[in-house]
Amino acid sequence: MKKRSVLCLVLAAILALGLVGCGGGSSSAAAYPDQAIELVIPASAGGGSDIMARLLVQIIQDNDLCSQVITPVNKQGGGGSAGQAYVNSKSDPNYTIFTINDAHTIASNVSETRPEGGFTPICMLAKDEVLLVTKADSPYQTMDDAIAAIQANPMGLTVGCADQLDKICVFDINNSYGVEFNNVYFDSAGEIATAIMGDHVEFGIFNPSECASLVEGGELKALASFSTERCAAPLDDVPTFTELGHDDLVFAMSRGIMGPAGMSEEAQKYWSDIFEKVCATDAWTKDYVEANGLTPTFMNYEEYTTYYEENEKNLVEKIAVLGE
Amino acid sequence: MVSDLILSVILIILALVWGYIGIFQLGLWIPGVSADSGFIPTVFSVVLLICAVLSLVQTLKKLREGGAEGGAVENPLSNFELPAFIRKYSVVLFCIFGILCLQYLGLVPMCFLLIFGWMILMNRFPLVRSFLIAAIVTVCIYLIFDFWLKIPFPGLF
Amino acid sequence: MLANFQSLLMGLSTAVTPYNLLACLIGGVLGIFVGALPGVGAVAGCSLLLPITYKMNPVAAIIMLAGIYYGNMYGGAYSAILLNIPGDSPAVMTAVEGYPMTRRGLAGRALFTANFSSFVGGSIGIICLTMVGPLLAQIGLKFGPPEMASLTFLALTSIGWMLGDDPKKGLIATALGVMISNIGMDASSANFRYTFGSTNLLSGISFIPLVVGMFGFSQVLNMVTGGTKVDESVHVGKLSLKESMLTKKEMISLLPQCLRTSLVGGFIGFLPGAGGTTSAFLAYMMERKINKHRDEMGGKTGSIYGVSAVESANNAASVGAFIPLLSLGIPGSSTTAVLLGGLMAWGLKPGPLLFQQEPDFCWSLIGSMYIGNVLCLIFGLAVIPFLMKLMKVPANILAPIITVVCIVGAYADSNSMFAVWTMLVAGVITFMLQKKGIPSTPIILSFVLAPTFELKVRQALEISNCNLLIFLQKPISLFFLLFAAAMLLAPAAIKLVNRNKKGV
Repeated sequence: MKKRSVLCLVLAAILALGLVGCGGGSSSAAAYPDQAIELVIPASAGGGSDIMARLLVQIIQDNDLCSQVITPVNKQGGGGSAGQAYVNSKSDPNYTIFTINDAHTIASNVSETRPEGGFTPICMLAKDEVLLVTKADSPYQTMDDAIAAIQANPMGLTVGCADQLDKICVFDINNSYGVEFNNVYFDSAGEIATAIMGDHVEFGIFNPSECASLVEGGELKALASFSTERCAAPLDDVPTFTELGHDDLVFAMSRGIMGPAGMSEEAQKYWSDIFEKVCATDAWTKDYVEANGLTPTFMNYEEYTTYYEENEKNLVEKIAVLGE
Repeated sequence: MVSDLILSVILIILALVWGYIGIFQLGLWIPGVSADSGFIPTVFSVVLLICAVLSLVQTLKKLREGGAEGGAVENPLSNFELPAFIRKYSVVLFCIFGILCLQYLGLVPMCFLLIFGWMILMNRFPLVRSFLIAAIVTVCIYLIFDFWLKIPFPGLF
Repeated sequence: MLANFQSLLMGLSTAVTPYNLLACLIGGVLGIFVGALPGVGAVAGCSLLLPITYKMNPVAAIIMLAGIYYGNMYGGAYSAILLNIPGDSPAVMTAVEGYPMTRRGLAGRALFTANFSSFVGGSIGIICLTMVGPLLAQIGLKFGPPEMASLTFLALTSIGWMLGDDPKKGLIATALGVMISNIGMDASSANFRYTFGSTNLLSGISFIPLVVGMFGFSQVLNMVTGGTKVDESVHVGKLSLKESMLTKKEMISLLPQCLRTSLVGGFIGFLPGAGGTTSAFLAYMMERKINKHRDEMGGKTGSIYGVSAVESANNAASVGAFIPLLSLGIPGSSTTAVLLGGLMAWGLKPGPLLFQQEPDFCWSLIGSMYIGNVLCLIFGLAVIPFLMKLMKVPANILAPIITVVCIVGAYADSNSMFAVWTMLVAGVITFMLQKKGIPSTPIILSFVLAPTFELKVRQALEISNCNLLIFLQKPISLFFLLFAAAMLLAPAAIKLVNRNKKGV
């Protein structure tokens, strides 16, 4: 008899625990979202995409913008394809969102992780300028120096690239100036910077956030930027390619948020609204966008859908020409 | 002996498949630029091939020399007593059961059922003791991984 | 240097304020705990605990985060020694040397050695960081793709030959490890490799499910088939802290080797692209060749000298990874990359100017490392008796618990059920391979090292426009290659010399 009552007590305890644990997942079709959401970051921890994504989550949490927990998940590899493949594999398209930039867009087409009909655009967050950078005390102090050097030594100077997008930039430079820079793949901007400072490669393609502190610290020097106007300090003394007479070299990486194929319009609008609020906060504009030399550009899901379609077509054409 | 042979053969096949894909589908070399995707896999599949073939040759030699004595000692079935043999497969079955539990039922049921089932079926512990151990461990795992680290587990609980 | 010393004193005084001290303690304890959990590695541990620190001021936050980071290094040894499940890749060698000691009932000594060596290694790493940090960073920059390729080549070639009795089987294991690592995306060219049409294999096989399966689940299979009977004839003793302590003589004899391995480990730790695993393994390799007690190492018995070599190296390496982070703003390992994200989230700008712009911050961090190291040591030692009690739990109860932890741990890494199935398959296959004499350690080590190796080789070739001689032209690279060749040929050469001697 005693044993049985002990048994019952323990059973009751387990059941109670189960109910408590149940609290996280609800079974009724409540308001969207009613589960935790995954924010997939198709890049390794510590890089530009990762910092931005985690900050977004932080701002959402600080301002109580979402009732559910958003869990950032890193899925690096293949220039973004690994993360996209992971997103494609998720069974419920409404509870995953992911960050995307132009490099990932290219990868999705090259590696065929782009699903039928494409991903679901949610919003654009910002534009990231692109710069050609070299070591601070290198013999190439201006773009002209660099061009002269590569003309004397075709394929003898190397530009470090962290993704296919960077390779397109080098390709464009080569076409516009009629020269032949060599390019080498690196896993991250940090590694390119290390390689430049160690004299293993001569140049690199960077976003402002990836090189600003090193430029300020006197280790690196930017030669030219792909932006329409000059970048913010400390890169404001860097000429744009347009100023140097090559206005075909205008480009900026866009960073946005997308959802998997098949995401509902309700979910799409929901996230577009949330991120619109995020982009209006001080924490975003002052502490992140300005601090990192980004150009704040918000596009909601309708505008972004149009932009993305055109941008993707443009990039795919260039990549096909590149023969990659 | 036989299992040694089978292993060597499997490794040789693996090496051949890797090498084939490496050479013909992925490419070994981009002339003037660098090694291609298939280079490293092919190199190491060659290493595997050489070692597996050497092992195979060694095993065949032993078989020829060892004869009946070698065969009897190496017969895998007679190495284990029957209970241990069954135990090994039961463990794997339990694990499969546990994984399926996790996928469809969730963390808490999986922990509890796996440990409880193991205690009762494999160790033949009394009911109450099994319950207590299973319950305690389940609570700990839940607190650490779900409550504190907030890892999103599938299933219902 | 005097200025550095003054700044350090100032930093120490900030670090011992009650608030910061508490942050340090909590960080260290959390780190040890998370590090000891099989399946949750240092990177995951830091990422998961990072949000906790957002609410705090930057100084306390980074102190806590740093504590979590090197606490992880202390804790990773625990599950490796006690359960043969390394918490992350540096702990693999700790498992190889420490677990056999547990089976002989000497787990306490192994844990004590691990804590002690981690402390010495961490301290030496911090001292180097303080005194010559920026200088070392500049030296580290000289290691480019060809140099790193040769260094990794050195490590790869030693693995198969060192572990296991039959070099053929060791090579098979090394080759298998490399081939498994090739599954998935090839980063340089965005090609798929060996995915056989499966979406799950697109990102390849991850480390955590593989190691949890190979070491954890195969361990369970071993336990169940009676392969892990503790040698009852060895007197197990009261397993208190006193029994676990090493004699003074032993501790002193460990010191010179700790010094060596920490310097090696710390240096390799901040090289771009090399992390705790490469440094721990190369330091271990060095000790296998030159240590007085090298005959004890690597065998079936395990050795405190082996445990010490690995632990002091990997703690020094984890501190070493801070050097490029603080002096250049470039993370030296994936865990420091997470810390970098944290720094930027708090509004700090890691870069060459960090020391000048935020001296309080930097020196408080460095000061807290000294203290944190001591706290981790004390906590680690205090916990030993508790851990020993845990080990007394009989195998038939431990087995299902470990199985559950394996399943949970494999899932926790990437939130994917496929990872859990990978864990199961890896465990079963490893168990079967081990019965045939193919060791599992080389598989996992080459799995970890191969991607770096391949990337560096291809980068070196691309930079030199496919000139294979670049590996011989760069002096540092040439040095490593010659060293590797010497290590490979030495046994054969010695045999040859002996035969000649006998002949004459």
